[in-house]
Amino acid sequence: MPLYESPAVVLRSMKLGDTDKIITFFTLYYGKLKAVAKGTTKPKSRFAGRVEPFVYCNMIAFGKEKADLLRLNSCDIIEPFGLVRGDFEKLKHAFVSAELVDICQKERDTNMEGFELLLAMWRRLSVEGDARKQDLLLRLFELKYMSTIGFHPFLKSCVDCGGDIIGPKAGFNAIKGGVVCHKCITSDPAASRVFVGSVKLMGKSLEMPFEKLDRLKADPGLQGDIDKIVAGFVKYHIRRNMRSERFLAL
Amino acid sequence: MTGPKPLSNLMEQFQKLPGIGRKTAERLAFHILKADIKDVARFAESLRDVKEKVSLCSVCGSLTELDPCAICSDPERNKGVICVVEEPHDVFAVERIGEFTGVYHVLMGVLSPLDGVGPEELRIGELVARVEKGGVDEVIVATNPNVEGEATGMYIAKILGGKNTLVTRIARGLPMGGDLEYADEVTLSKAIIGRLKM
Repeated sequence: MPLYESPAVVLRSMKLGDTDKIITFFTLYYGKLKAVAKGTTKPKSRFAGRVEPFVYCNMIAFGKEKADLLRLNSCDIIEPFGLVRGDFEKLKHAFVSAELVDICQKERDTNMEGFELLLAMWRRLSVEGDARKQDLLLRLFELKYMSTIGFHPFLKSCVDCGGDIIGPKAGFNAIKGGVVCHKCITSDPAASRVFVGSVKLMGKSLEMPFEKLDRLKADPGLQGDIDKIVAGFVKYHIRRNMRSERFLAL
Repeated sequence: MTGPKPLSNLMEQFQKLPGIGRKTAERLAFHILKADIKDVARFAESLRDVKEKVSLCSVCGSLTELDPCAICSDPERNKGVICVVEEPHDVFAVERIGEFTGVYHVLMGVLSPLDGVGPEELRIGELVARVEKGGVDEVIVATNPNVEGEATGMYIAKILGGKNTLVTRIARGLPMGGDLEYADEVTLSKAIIGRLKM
């Protein structure tokens, strides 16, 4: 029976029967994996705190090659992300990032870049105290993560005519996956009007490593734009509403 | 399955219960078949009674035969301290220790962003109303020590923030009889943070 050993983050856990849990891991080497952790809800369980969402650990599981559900053998914490779990604002952002990865990531489909990105997001979230900055980081994370799975937004020139993006206002068309220039926006009813500054900021973020994104600043106008653009872009590609999204307003 | 219809019907019903598969359902059905008719009648009566007579207390949301429940209507209980729990069976767990003299509030779940369970789906509004009515000095959040339980606790603390009521969280840490060596980092860090003066 194959053994699966990999650094992993816990995306979610779900109760199974009285004391067991199904843990969804996003692993570095195998992509998303699900494993049963036996006896997790018992007070003396060796797994208890180790398989809580937002824990970065080293997991070992076993199971048949094509099994949907593995059996968790051990789980050693590398980073507990206690600061994320201990703050309601941070927790909301962590939930949204975990849900996006859980929805988009296919089981046993490796995405090392996405894995590192999620870790970087939670590390940044641990130390970021400003709620507005957390909002911006989350949206830029979503944008960058979508890019790792093949949905890279086209922000350099107009998706309709290929022309340069100039002027204070432009458009964004989630269906076409990119920015629309001030000339084409009138003939593109699906494009929402946005500031060019928002498009530039998003474009810059896609070229920067996540660790350096805290250098980017967005005023409330740009932040609103980025919220709208990213939410529309993500929703169009995942074809559903994210459940955790409404918690950001709590 | 072949055999008398009443027997297969009974097996089918048993199989609907959690944790009961075909084999266990078969064993239980044969046990009923062999049992004394009076015992079977009592069993059937208990099943009906539990559905007909047990309801939720309109004040705290725990299981009761009378409304309000025995705890809420007990003059000896301290109404100024409310222990907030996830499910009705958690009330039994706290009551078993016999040391808590306050009253309860059952949320009927916890906030679970990934499952789409928000404050509107829980009895959080009722808790706020109880606190706003006055006379509540302390709200003890006794949700399970997992991410959803913590999130619910933090949300309750946030919305009760300006209401002049102390919001506390049950201590989290090592279980009695447990070994420090085998404790995970998350639990151990909670135990250190929640240490008490001796």
